[in-house]
Amino acid sequence: MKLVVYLKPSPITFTRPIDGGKYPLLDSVTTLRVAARAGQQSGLGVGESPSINVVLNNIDKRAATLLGNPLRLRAELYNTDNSLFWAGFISHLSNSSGASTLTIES
Amino acid sequence: MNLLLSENVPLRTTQDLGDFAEKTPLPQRFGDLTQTPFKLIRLSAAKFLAADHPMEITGAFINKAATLDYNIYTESDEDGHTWQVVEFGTPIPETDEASAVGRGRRNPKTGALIENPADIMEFVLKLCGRSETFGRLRAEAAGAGVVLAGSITEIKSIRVTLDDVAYSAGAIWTPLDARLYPVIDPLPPFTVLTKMNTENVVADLDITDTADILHLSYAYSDALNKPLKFIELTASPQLYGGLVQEIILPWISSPRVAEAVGRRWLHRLAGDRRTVTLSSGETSLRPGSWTELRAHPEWGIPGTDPKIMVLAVDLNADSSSVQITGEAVLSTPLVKLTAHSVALPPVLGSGVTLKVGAGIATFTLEDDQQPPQPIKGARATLDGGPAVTSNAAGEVAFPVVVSNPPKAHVLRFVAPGKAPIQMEVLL
Repeated sequence: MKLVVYLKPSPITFTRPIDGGKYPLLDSVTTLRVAARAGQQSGLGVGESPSINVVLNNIDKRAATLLGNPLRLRAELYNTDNSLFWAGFISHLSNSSGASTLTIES
Repeated sequence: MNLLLSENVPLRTTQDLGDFAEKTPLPQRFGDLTQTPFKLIRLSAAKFLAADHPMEITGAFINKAATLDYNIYTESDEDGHTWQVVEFGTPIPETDEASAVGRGRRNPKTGALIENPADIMEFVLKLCGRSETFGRLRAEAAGAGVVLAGSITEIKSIRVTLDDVAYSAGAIWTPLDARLYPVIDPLPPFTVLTKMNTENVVADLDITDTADILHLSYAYSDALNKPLKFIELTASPQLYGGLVQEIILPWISSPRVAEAVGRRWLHRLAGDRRTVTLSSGETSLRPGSWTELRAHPEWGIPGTDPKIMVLAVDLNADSSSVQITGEAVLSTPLVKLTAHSVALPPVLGSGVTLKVGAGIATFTLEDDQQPPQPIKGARATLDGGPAVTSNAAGEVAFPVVVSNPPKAHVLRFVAPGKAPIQMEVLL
């Protein structure tokens, strides 16, 4: 699994530590619920936009330094077979001393 | 500009045209709006805006009365925006309302009206700086003849704006895909789910969204602030005690489309519908996918193998399976068109509304006072048949044969002290 964030001037790719790479900071990904929307028909899905939280290791403030302010930037999450798992725009970033949690929303 | 679906569609407003007195969104209009009058936005005493893009204007009204005293032209600014103007020959008092009818945006390459629901939804997304495409919905809507007509006049979130369009089309959507749903007979391909790739199958029956009769209002006029047309569809057998559901599909203007979409909705509401949850190794399944649960030992309902439309998927990046929620309609009722009515265009001075049911067309004649008063004692004929006199409620009734699409009939009536009026009525 890898996360590509389209930072400017060039995108960067976060990978899991086990996969190596230049930025092996990808820690975990929450479950994503994608539901169809159908206007006012109550039995069919009417809810929030799909979003997913991605947790990056922020030891030594490395993830926070790399990300800066990434709001509205495109982010893509790929499976280990390189197929696209989810794509959207960064709508929230929460930094703590140990973790940077990105919310990617469609 | 990367707008989220939860953020608003960036409609321009009158402030963008230099009018800072009142901030009114500048509308985007789509499809054939020649039968559903829309409000014009006042720019000056005689000059009004029809849409924030060029469009065809086929008629204009002052206080619902048709006028020919107007010119149409477009204006542009240095940023490349072009908007459609209707300018009347004389100043229109502030207390009067101006409206118009016409045809909305056209595809800049083909010149065709943008009226396929997928094209409208993609246009909205493009307006928001996004690039989703809905090829499957475009093909399905074209195949089913689903065309829409309507206006985006309010600043609402992108997802709610798309919901409005999809709902009128009888479609579901996610950012990844959009499909016509419900449908009566789903067509292949189906992803086959068996005991080898699927487990934890549960089918729930729930009272939510059940009905036997559908009252569908459509042809919404934003000038009159109401839908102008109505149909009633009735299911047989009735599984839910004759329960009625009322819906308004404001983006539909055609009786043919209203009936087709209404039939699909009522098959879902009145049919034997199960909500199916399951876990599947088919991790590529997403909302909008058709599946077939084939000879699965966990399926606890007798009958044929169910076709399931996937409506929601819970994805876990570290899991080899996905959790799916879908719908299967196991049996559908017979659906009949049992009534329809048409509020006639507001161009006659006198208001006439029409309801049709049980083979009887009932016209209600009202004068142009505020509030309107019923016209008693008017002599009316339909297609030159025997004259009928309106009662105290302004009503006259004639036996008719309802057809869809409606056929043209001629209503003539003479109200006491007024000139005779003749109009074409679609029944």
